[in-house]
Amino acid sequence: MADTKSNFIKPLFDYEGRSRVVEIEGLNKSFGDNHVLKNISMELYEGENLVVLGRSGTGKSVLIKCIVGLLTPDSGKLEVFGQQIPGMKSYQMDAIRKKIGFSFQLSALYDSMTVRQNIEFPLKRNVHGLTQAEINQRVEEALDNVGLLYAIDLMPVELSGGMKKRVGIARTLILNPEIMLYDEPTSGLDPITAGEINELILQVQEQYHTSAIIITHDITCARMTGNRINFMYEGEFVLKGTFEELSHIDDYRIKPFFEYNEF
Amino acid sequence: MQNTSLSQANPTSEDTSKPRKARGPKWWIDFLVDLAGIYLFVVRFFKDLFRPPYEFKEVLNQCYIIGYKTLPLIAFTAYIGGIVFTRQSRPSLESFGAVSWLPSLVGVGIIRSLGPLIAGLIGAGKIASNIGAELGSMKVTEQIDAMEVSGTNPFTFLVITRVLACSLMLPILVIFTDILALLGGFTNVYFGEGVSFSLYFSQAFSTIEMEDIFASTLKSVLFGFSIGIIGCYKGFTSKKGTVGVGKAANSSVVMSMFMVFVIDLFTLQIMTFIRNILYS
Repeated sequence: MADTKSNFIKPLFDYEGRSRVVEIEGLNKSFGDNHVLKNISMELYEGENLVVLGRSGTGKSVLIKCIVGLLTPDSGKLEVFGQQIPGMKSYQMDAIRKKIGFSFQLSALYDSMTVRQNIEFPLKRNVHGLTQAEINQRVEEALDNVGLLYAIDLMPVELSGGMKKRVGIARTLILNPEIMLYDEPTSGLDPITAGEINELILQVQEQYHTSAIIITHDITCARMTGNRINFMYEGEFVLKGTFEELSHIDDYRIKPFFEYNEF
Repeated sequence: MQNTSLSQANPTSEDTSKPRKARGPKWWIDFLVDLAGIYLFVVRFFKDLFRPPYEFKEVLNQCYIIGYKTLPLIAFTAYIGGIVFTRQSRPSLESFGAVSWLPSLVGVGIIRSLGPLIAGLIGAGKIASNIGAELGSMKVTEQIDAMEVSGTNPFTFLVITRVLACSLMLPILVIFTDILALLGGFTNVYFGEGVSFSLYFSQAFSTIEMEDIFASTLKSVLFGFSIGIIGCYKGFTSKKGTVGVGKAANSSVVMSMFMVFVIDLFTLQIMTFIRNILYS
């Protein structure tokens, strides 16, 4: 996949002087005979929101699971904060993971714990020496930032889909991550709640100065949250650019995304 | 990055993915894979057991769930079991005119075998299925992955705590089972022969030796350990959504029950060997 300079359009996001927090080159991942990721190359810059857009089942989630070390790639370079992830020792991986927030597609809230306990969980185990009052304050602050302070003592089963997503995001924000990975943040939500989640993603970027990779098939989410978009098709990045650039490309692989959202 | 470039890859790139042949592995391959997986799980348990952080609070929480919440079921089963065992032993002793030996027989039978077995089987049914289903559901809803990416070792928090709690609680549950089963036996003997409480229990314990208590405790710790390990292993390795969770719960029970009998036989052999050494 070679970049075509003739199609270059200056992005809105200012990349001047920003370092690369994630760098991937020639990444491959297979499950048996199923070659899911094929020669993936990408980079994530400090402070930007990068959207990985593509249809379901194209390998988007596998990519971010490789980044956070839940899956091991077969080959290729995968560096986070300049450190190669595959082959990393578990204690080194844990140190990296503390800087990465992962928002799961199904929120993955611990359903035997209340919202408060869910958010306390990573804090108590990763930040030592905090008093209970300090923990409470940070939990309440994180929930307030996602607008769910009133749900602090509810169980996950009592929350709606959108609320679960917000609590999931609050749980990752409690450790002040430098990178956020969102796996389908708006899937299964009504358009209004999805819009609120998109705004929350932008708010997190601004307030916490995070860099983010947003995995989505939702073109509205891509438009609202992404500074750049990498379009994935059958395990490969086939198009890269801003939303504006991609929306004007006459390509059979991406065009349906825009056509199905026209009214 | 100074520039963002727009690029297009070759759309004719070869798709190397091929449909896999559906080959159902033989049951014995699954069994061997399970054995190997459980062995690795046990090795990891002992490697991580003394490695911080220590989740004491969660161990206590699991002790409450595994111990306290299983108690009513075990108590009821043990009491009924004691009555049935005593009632069915009576005709055999009556035919030899040895009904007076009934409390001793009941005591030996319950403490050596029936009590641990009832606790082990009820534990396998209730505790292993609970652990298998809970961890299986956590696995398929990515809660275990969420724990891992938040820098917490899910093995320490989920497996070590549950296995420890099982190993600690089963001996206590066995003591309760023994007491309740003996009370069941007493109920039967009291209404049959009018034997007093003190006479029944003094006779019931007269033939019990220290080795019996040791064997019963050893057995119950091993029952608890195997129930915890199998439940956790099956939950951790469950796949394929809700169907996988059901299978994890089911196979946890089947395998744990099987292991309860294997351990029962194993400790019997060990204790016979020890007795032979001690009294030869």
